[in-house]
Amino acid sequence: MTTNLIDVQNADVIMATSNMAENHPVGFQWVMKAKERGAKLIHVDPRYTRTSAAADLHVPLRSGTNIVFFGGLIRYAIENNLYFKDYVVHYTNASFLIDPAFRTATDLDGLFTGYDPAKKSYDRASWKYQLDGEGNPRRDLTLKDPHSVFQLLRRHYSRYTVDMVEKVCGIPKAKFEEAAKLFCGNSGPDKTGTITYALNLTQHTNGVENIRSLCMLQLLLGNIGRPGGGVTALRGHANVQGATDLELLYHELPGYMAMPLRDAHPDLKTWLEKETPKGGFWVNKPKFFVSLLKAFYGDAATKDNEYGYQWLPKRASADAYSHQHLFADMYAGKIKGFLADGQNPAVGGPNAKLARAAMHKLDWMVVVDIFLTETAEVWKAPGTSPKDVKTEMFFIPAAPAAEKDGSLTNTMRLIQWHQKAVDPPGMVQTDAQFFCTLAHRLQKLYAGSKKERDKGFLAANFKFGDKPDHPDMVQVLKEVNGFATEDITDKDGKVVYRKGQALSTFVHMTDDGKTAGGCWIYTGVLTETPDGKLTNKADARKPADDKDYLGHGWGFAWPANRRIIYNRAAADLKGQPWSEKKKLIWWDPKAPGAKPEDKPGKWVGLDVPDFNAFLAPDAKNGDKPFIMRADLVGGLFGPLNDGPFPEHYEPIESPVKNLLSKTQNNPVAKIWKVADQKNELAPVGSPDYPYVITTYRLTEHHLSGVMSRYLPMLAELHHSHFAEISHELAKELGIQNGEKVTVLSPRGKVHVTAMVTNRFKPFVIDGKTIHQIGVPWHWGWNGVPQLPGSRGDITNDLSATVGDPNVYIQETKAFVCNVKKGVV
Amino acid sequence: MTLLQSPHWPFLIDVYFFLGGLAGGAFVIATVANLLDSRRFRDVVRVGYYLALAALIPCPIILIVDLGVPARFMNMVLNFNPLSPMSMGAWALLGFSACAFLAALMTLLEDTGRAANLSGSKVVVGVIGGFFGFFLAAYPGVLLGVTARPLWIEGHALGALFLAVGASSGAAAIALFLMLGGRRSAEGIGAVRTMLVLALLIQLLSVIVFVASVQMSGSAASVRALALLTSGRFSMTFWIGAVLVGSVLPLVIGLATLKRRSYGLTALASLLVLVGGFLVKYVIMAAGQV
Amino acid sequence: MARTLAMFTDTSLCIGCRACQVACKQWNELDMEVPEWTGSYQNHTHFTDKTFRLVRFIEEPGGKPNGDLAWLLMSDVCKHCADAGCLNACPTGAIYRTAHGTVNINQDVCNGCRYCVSACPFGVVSFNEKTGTASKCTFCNDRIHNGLGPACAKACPTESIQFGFRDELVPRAQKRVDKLKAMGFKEAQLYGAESNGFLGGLNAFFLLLGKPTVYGLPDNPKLPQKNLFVDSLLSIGSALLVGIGALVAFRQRSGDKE
Repeated sequence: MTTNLIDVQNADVIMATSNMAENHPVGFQWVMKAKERGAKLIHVDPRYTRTSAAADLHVPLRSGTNIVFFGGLIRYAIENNLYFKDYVVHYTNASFLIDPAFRTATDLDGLFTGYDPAKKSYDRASWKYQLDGEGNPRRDLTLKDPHSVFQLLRRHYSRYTVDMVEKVCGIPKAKFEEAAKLFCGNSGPDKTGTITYALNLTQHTNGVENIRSLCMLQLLLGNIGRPGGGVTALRGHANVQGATDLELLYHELPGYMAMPLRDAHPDLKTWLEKETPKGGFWVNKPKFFVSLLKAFYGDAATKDNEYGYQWLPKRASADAYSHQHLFADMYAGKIKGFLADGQNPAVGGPNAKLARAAMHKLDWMVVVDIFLTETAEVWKAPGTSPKDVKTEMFFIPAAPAAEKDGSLTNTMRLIQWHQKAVDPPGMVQTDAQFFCTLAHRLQKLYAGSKKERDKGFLAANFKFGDKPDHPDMVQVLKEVNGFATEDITDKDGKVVYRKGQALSTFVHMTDDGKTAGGCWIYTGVLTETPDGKLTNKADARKPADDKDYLGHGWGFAWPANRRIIYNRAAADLKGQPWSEKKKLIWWDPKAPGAKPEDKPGKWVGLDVPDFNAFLAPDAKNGDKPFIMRADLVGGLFGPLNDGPFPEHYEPIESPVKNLLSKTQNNPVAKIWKVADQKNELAPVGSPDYPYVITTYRLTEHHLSGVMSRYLPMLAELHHSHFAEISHELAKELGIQNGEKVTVLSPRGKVHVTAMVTNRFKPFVIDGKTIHQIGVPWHWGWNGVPQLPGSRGDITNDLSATVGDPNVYIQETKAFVCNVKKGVV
Repeated sequence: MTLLQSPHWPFLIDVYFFLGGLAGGAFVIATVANLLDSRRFRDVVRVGYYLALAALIPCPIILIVDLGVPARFMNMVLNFNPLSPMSMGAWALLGFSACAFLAALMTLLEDTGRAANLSGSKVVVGVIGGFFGFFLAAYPGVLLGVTARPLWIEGHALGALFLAVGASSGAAAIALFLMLGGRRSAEGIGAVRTMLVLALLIQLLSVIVFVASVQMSGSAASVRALALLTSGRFSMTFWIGAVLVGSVLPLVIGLATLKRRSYGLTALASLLVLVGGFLVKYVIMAAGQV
Repeated sequence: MARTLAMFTDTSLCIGCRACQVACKQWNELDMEVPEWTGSYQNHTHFTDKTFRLVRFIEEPGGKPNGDLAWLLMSDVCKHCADAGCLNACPTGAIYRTAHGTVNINQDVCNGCRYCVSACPFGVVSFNEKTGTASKCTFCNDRIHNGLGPACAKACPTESIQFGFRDELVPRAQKRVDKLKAMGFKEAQLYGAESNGFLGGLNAFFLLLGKPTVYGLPDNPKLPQKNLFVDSLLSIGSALLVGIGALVAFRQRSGDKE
């Protein structure tokens, strides 16, 4: 998330593409505040939800056609001259020239240059800037060169006309134009708009490109880094941001650094060479990476042993280990054991039927959770005979947030500390306790090992504070924050950090082993005086006020307590606010410099500058806000596995042909082949599965229902598992509101209650009526015994094991189904 | 869409309303008879006062049993709320119980020869008790009128109706008991019959006022609620049971027998009135609580 | 009497998240209940002894200023009427008005006659089978006496539920109506804000985006006790007629020997 929810109140227009009111009701207060201040709310969603209820304009679109919608807006902004020209020319790569060999999908019928159908991947040789003699990208500030990013972008989106949007998305022309005028019209020096998204955009086989397309629109409209602008990325639950930052992921290490690949990164040197870009702030990556290794392995990590680099597990392939890979591999018998900590894949993941069948094939399985989830009881799933399940099961009862100290990092990168309210009952452990004690016992078992590969694990620190079995979470936070591994002195010999002292900023990290830090972006969350007094800024609770509307005294937002990142873009080339109304940070030429002897001048304002605070606007790169990018500008042209510009492809399962090109699906999407018909897919326009289905969540429930279905007060709020169906479809099928229906996909079926509603309407796609239904996915076979409706069939039994080519996220927001009256 | 809630008063409360009305009606008739000619109407007075007490005895029991917390029945009479017909009704029930007990006791003393003529004292008890008796018969109707239930809130004549039903059922019960006791020729049976006819007329008039009042209230919810009674699922009970069989038919019989006396027809009419009187209260309670 | 406390529920800000409904349940320790199918997200259809706060979901085709479907969301609650039908109806004195103007039911006095249930013009007061008493929202009496404000208002993420002094909330609400009208919500109106309006004004008053009846609220709710006079008068008339009738019947007979 580039911005901060509090700042949403400054938007002139808000385009919610997700169901924010329902899934982020607390954050939505700022949308309502913006509305009270006169902002308009557009809700773009196949469904009419509680967000639509609050919106000024609801724009329904067929699930899976977001890129067409955003592409339509991009084209609309360009052709109607509504983009923010100064911003686009100077702060984005619009003016950069691309290799003349590069062709857009407009020229190649839905493909980009370099597609290899045999490998189902792209050769990206031509997806690069033209360089001048000094190796700098060539630019055309007039944006007229046909090889400029801007002209290529224009050419690429030339097909995304208003008519095309109507035909593909099913949005009536007038409605699209109203939305386009409203959103694109609120751009420029004194206007900004923000776009919210969540899983509505990510869970597609072009999920990453979905998000890229809205980022590109925001760049074109000059909305990134400015008050009331930005990309409002809404996370799926309270700590997804934290889990991502600390990288409970298969492909990255804490702080967004690549998990080494076995072949590409044989040693530390190679890793550093390949992963460190030539420009931008990431040139500091070696400092962060070595500090991370020091945090992992402590004193055992030395220069001589590559700081323990070889002890890190290495990925055999980039196309492996994601959630979907794991269950496909588990089903294929490649994975023997499984530890599910606070996750319920028997219900929550795609193709849940496959996930359950896969878990039945394991030798052992440990589930750590606060309730006996369906995953914990996967051996007695409906239709399963426990005798047939050989998996040895262990269940570890876990403590929820109120029973432990710790932090959550919310959707706006805000780290907030919480204190334990009560002790966990009986032998229930916190996650930290569980993992630390597990590690201690394993270390004991491995204690005598002479093997090189075990040395790292034996050296790793799992002791935080005085009591090994009761980790002190502030000490954990300190390791994450980073600290000096030895006394660090400045050039005059003065001690800057004594050994063990917490670092106050990641700028102080070094690549020589003198600093350790578990997640560089979190540095500064904890400060320590030389005499060892810790201040936990995540625990700070000074609310926002008129002087500090972003509330810098409340919690700590990474990086460096910045609330709006790339905020250099809030000022013009000369460092002055684009307008008084939209000021955030600016260059004060009179402010004292970094040191008394320096020239005066400093970036000042309402937020912590996301920029070198003393780099003058007229200095080299003083006008380049996007410091995390090697080219220092916003990337309208941004190569991903599926192309440098987002292109529309139909979902893997779709009732219609792709009208934009002959390329029906994302040509590089991942489609798993699973034995025993466990991942059957419907062909395009299948008469057996004529309806589009989307799956989603409700305010009243949480994810796979583990934190809601077992709680009577929440579980009673919905009568039973249901499917939302339009009156039109209900009439066609003779279904009454409240009747039981069966929803079927090639993978499975669920029995649910039909909720016949005005809030669903059929779409007219290329002249044909296409029905769409919606099914929430919170239900499973467990629940509150007295509330029969708290239990229900598993919606994810319907979804498929297919994935985006960049991050392998599932496509659960758009696939196809059939609906039958009654229980069949 | 109605948001209103029903108190869900059970069938027993209908019984209470009926018995309370009957007791009040019988008591008033006995009192008037005692007042005008205690000797000639001795049987009417005796039957009336005994009936009043007999019908009254189940009443507090029903009320207590129906409470959510029966042990707190006394809270009703530890409080005095003139705006609440229920509060007033509780007090009336208390007052009436005392009078009905005294009147029946005095009658018993006379009947068993333990006292000579107590008609003078009976007048005092009768007048005070008569006031309470009227109250007891009428207050449930007013109580219903002072709720938010759509059928009742616009009715206005429910108190009047319930009082008339009390009088008619009281008269009918006296007539029946006089005849059952083999006192067909007793003095006063004719007067009771006349009373019955008059009470039925007032009863029918009250029904008309009630229906008209709701119909013309202009409240859609009330008109809808009334339709349940006049054309909906309670219409058979209302029109045939309560109005035709319970009021019109006995009225016709009563008018016919004013001139040509027939004990058989009088007994039939009385029975019909009792059934009809109960049905009136039952159907208004039932339709009003939907 | 202290300054009157009030709750202003601005339905134009309600997002139907039902945090209020759950917070109410949690704070007041109300039991679960098996929901009935209402055809929409709403549960339950009406107030119960286990649901003191209830978010209503109403689909209103054409209800938006631009003619689109409106989904009206309204968090409903006891109105704590200035002229309260339940309070007037109570025969035991269990229902009382607090110094803050709220209407509460003393659970130690109520004997469960259910007269208040029938006397509430909004169907708020509910009978609790378990305790045998009538129950309803108290504005979280225990909380407001400790300066916390009702649980529902505390939980509301969008300030749709505002709690405070009535004389401060009403002008604020009026301003909001004016603003919404200017934004095109022609039917925006306050419900129960006027102290010289129906029921003497509601201490929980609402900003609605449509006619009250759209939300299932009575247009002009009537205090049941207003009927007391007319109904009693008619009863007295009936009593007089019956009395005269009896006198006539027995006088006639006393002169006419059978």
